[in-house]
Amino acid sequence: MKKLVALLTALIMVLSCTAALAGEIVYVATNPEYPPFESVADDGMTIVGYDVDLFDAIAKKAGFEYEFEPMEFAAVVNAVATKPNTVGLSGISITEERKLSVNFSLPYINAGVAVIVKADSTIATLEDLQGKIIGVQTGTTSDFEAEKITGIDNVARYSTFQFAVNELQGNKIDAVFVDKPVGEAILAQLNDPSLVMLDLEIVADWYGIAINKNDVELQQKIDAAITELQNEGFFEELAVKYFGGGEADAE
Amino acid sequence: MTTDIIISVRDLEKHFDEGKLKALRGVTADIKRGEVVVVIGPSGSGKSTFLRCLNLLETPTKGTVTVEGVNITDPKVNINKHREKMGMVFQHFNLFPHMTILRNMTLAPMKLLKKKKADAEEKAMALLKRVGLADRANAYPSQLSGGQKQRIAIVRALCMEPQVMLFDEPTSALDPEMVGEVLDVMKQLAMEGMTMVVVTHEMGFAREVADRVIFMDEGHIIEEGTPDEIFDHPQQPRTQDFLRKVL
Amino acid sequence: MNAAVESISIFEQWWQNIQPGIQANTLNFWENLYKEIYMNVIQGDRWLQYLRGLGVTLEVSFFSILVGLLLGTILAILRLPQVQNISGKGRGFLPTLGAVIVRGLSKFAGFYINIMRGTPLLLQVLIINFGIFGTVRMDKVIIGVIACGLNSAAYVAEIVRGGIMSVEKGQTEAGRSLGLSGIRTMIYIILPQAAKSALPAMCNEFISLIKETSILSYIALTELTKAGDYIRSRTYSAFTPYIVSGLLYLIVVLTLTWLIGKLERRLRNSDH
Repeated sequence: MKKLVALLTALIMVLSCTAALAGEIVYVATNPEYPPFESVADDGMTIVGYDVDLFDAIAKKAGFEYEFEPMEFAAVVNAVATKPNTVGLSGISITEERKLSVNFSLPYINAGVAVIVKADSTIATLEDLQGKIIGVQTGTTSDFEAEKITGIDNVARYSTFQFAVNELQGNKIDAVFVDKPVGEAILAQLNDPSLVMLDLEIVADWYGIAINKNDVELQQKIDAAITELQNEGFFEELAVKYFGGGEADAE
Repeated sequence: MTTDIIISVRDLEKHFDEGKLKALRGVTADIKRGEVVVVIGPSGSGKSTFLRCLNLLETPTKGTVTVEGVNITDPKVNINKHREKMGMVFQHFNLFPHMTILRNMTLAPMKLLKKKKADAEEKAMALLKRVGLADRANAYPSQLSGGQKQRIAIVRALCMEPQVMLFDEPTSALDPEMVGEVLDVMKQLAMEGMTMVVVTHEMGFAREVADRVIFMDEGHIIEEGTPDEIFDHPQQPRTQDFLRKVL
Repeated sequence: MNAAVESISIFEQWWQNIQPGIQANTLNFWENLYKEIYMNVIQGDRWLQYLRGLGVTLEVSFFSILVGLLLGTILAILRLPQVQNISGKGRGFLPTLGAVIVRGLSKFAGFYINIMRGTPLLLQVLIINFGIFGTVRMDKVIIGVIACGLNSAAYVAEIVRGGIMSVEKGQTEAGRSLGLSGIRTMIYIILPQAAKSALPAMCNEFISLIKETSILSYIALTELTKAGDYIRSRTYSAFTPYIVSGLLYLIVVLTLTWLIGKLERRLRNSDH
C-alpha cells in the first residue's frame, strides 16, 4: 500500500511536472498600465506591448501556454513570490530588495539613460559632458539627468527625442540623452555610422521577468529563450517596433 | 521777349490701352522762353496728356520732346535733372499731407539742389510771403483751404527755381471764390517773365495773360494764335463751336 | 533687500500653512490656487525662468519685426504694378538690362510671398533649422529671427503693398515732377503715407509674430512658451505654467497695442 501511494505520488508529481512544462498554463502577473511595455489595447481586453511580444516569443521557444492576470503593480511581485508557476512581467526593475522575494530572469532591457554622441567626438566620460550642449526630450529622465550634468542653460529641450538626434547628426549639439531602449532603436533605424552610444552608466535601470523562487526549471527555460532571442536579433526588431517611430508601427 | 525755343515738341503721339485709345495723334509745337502758352479744348482733347508729356509724366508713344536742346524722350537722358527745371502744378494740388508746408517746399531743394536747410527755408519763406501765406509755414496741408493749397503748390514748384512752369487745370478743383487768388499768383508769375504752359478752362485768364493760345481737339492742335486771334476771330469751325459753348 | 527676504518668508510661511491640507487632500479653492502659484512661480525662483523666456521672446520678436519690415518693404515695392511691368524705356536712368533684372526679382518676390504664406510657419522653422542650417552651429535666437523674419516679410509685403497702393497716384507725380527719383519719391513721400494707412494691419502682424515665435520652442529655443513647458515638466502641473506664460504674452501684446494706438493718434492729429 505504502509502495502504491509512493508510486502514485511519484506518478502525480511526474505528471504535474510534465503538465507544468508542456500542457499546463503559466500565469503572468502584470499591471497593464505602462505603455509601451504593457497596456490594454483599444478593444479593452487584449493586453499588448513590448513585454507581451517578448513573452510570447519566449513561450513559443520554451513551449508553454500562458495566461495574463492583471493586477496593481505593487501586487505583482507579491503574487509571484507566493504563487508557484507564476511570473511577473510588468517592466519590473531588477533591484536587490526584490531579489529577496523573487528570482529574476536574465535582464532583457536597460531602460536607463543612454548617451549618444558623434563617432568622432572627444566626449568619453561623464566629466567630458560638463558644459556641453545636451539634447533631450523635455521632461524625461534624460532631461533631468542632463541638467544635473551640464547645467540648465546647456540643455537643448525638444518636443521629441528625434529632433535632438537630428541636431546631433548636424553637429549642432554635443550629445543626446535618451532612454536606452529608445536610443538603441534610433541607432538601429538610422544606421548612421557617425553616431555612437557611449557606455556610460548615467542611470542604469534593467528590467527582468520575476519568477517564483521554486520554479527553477521555468527560469532556465526562460533564460535560455532570452539568450536565443538575443542571438537572433529579436530585441533589435522589438526596439524598432516600439521605440523606432512610425515606420515600424505601420507594418 | 526773347525768341529762343525752350521746349520743342515734334509729332508727339500717346496711345493708351495698347493703342485702343489715342490721346495724342501727332502734335508739333514750340514753347519760347518767357512765353505764356494757354492750352484750351474740350475734355478728352488730349491737352492734359500733352502737358504731362512735356516733363515725361506720360511716356510718349511716338515723337520727341526736346528741352533746351536735349531730346528727353531718349532713355539715356536723366529725366530727373530735366524735371528739376520744369515745375508742375496739378489740378488736385498734390501737396504731401504728412509734411508741414515748409517741409513740402524745402524737401526737393535740399535733396536735389543740395541746399542747406536754412537757405532752403529762407527761400521758401520769401515765396510764402509773396503769396501771403507766411503764417502757415508750419501748418499741414489738411489745415488749408483749396485756394491756399494751390498757392502753396505753385510756390513749392518755384522753390526749385524752374525755367518752365506747367499748370494742369490748376483751378478746376477749386470752389469758385478761390479761383481768383490762384489766378492772381499765376498772373504775377507771368508778369515776371516765367515761361508757362497752362491747361485751363479759365478763358478770361487765357485772354488776359496768354501770349499764345493753343486749341486742341481729338489729339490734334486745331488752331493756335494770339488770344485776340483765337477768341475773336477763330478760323476753324471746331474752335468756333467750342468757344460758343464755353464763352 | 530686507523687504525681499521678508516677503519671501511670507510666501514660505503660507506654503508651510497649507502643507497639512496638501497631505490630507483638503485644500479649498484659494489654497489650491496658492499651491499652484507657489509651485510654478515662487518655488526655486521659477519666475526668473519665465522672465528669461520673456526676454528671449522679446529679443526674437524685435529683430524678426525689423527683418520682416525691411525685407517686406523691398518685396512690396518689387510687387508694385509699375515695377512688375517696368519697361526700362524712357525711364531715364534705368537701362534695359536693369529692367530685366527688376522684372525677374519681381517674379521671384511673388513666388516667395506665395511660398511663405502658403506653408505653415512651423514647417518653415523646422526646414530652416534642420535643413538649411542643418549642420551650422549657431545661436538659436538667430535661427529664430531668420525663420520668423523671413515669414513675416511675406505678410508685411502684402500689407505695405496695400498701403502704397492706397496712396494717391498724384503724390508720386508731384514727387517726380519736382525731380525726385523714383526711389526718393518712394522713401520720402509714398512710404510714410503708406505706413500710416498700413499701421493697423501692421500692428496685427506684429502681434501675430510675437505669439508665433512660440513655435521656436520646437527647435529648443527657451522662449516664453518653452519656459512654461520646462516648468511644467518639473512641477507636473497640468496648465498653470501656461497661464503664467500666457499672461506675460498678454502684457506684451497689450503694451504694443497701446503704443501703436498712441502712434496712430499722433499721426492722425498731424495731418489729413
